[in-house]
Amino acid sequence: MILTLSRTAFAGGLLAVALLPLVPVFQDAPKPQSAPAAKPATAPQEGMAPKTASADHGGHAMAGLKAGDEAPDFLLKDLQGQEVALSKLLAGNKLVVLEWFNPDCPVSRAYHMPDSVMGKLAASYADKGVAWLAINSGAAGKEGSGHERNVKAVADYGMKYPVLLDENGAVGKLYGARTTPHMFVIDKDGVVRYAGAIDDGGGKAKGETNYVKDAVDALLAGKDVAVKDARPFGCGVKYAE
Amino acid sequence: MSGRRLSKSAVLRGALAVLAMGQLAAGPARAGIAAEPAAPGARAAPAGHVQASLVAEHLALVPGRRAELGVLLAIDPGWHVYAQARNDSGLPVAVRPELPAGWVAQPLQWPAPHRHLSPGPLLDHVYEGEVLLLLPVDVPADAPPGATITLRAHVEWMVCQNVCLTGEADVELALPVAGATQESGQAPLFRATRARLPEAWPQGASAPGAAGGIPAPVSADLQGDTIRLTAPGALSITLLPAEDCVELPQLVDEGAAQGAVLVLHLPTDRPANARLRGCVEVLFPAEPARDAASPRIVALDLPVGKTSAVPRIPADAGNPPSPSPTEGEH
Repeated sequence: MILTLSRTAFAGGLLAVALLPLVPVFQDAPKPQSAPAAKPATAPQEGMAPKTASADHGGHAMAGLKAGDEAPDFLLKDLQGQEVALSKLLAGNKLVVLEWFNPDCPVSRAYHMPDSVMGKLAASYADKGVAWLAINSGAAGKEGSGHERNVKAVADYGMKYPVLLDENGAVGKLYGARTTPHMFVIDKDGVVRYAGAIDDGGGKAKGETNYVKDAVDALLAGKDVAVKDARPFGCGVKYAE
Repeated sequence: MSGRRLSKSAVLRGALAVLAMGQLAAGPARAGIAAEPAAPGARAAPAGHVQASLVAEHLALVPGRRAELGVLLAIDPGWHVYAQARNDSGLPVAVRPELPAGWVAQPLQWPAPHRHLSPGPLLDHVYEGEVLLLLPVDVPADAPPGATITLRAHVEWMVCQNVCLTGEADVELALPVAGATQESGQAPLFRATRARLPEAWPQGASAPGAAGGIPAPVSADLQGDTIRLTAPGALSITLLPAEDCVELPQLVDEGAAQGAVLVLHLPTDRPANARLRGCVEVLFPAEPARDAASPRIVALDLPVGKTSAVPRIPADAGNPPSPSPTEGEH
């Protein structure tokens, strides 16, 4: 089912790009368009992920996307209220990194403060066609959720990339995001090439091997990603009850 | 709902605690752990919700013998820490022993944890209330009787309720070296903890009880992509998978079952060397011959690869027969 949905969404995304010369870079959030943009399948639909997940995942809602899976499209708003669609980024020839984020999770925080592992890595790719997105799937009222808290986090942590709010958790569940952080690297064809932990640091932001860096570097060099998954660690995503 | 109010106050406390921990972690306290005795204030958990201490089963250390020590975590009600197990989230408790030269710590022994589901669903295996992680230490044969030895460990954890916090503590325990010893006041806690350590699963296809004469209360049968664990007479069976257990895509639904049978569906694309690892907790009805308060915890380490032929291991004949062989199936 995921595959079907995402294929449709991708087709829509490609069509939209054919119509629009605009190739949004992630810092310029997509502007409101007069021409109808693709209508990605996911975000506004509540409760679509769990029991309808792909048969590949055996009905386990949180089995998660794996390397080789097609990345389902999503449409979420950033903290400025601008819509961000995966399909548009891909259509713009972007490689996309997703970082599940909770500013009040000590593990998420450790990768932003005091030494921003995430921010530095994202910045190093900013001019290399890599769009880095933080997604917060915390439900309203839960730890680290909400517009105000995340606006403050962006300032406090010096984040230069968008934080997308996914308060109903639909996108988080679609991807099987379990922890903050939980990372997904998506190639320009919309295929997940890495899913899992940011590094081998076990939660202290002191890892020796940064799996996301290795994956992005490999993809930028046109090579295969060597380590395609590593069990994510961190706080559980604070999904809605 | 009152849950929301609770959650907000917890968020506030959490934010404060994170700040406090950040300062502590950045300070000099962490650097000198092994070199010199920790300052009295450094021993307590800085962030609350967990109090860590180092405890011993006996009052003295006997040269040439193994001392039964343990890291005791007292966890605030409603909060949990994470076992070293197949978890969707969290960080397992980490213990780093810091012992004098010549003293050898054995691997940490983890009692069976509990399943914990949170929205998602996320399935974790956790400890609540109080947990003792056993840390046996070999006392050197030449440890001088009469001396007092301070044993130390650095402990780190993530503790979660509606929010998660990380914490750490340096714990220590000073004990005399003596030729003989007696139990400490913590000995009952050690016994209770051992009752939740996994007992051995019989190796290979040999008869149950082959390993140490302990009758195995559970048997396994692999058919295609389905493995069936059967414990005749059991009220419930719970699988507590290890970190390196084969992926179990339906673990949330299948990991715990009422009755005598637990059925697990394995991924069709699992590797040939996949193993079902961890332990099962089997609850039997109370009866005079058995301590009703002690469920059986049995270690699991079974080859379940696509090409593996798992020999059927018979159940312990000492248990009453299952009323229905299919009970517990969905």
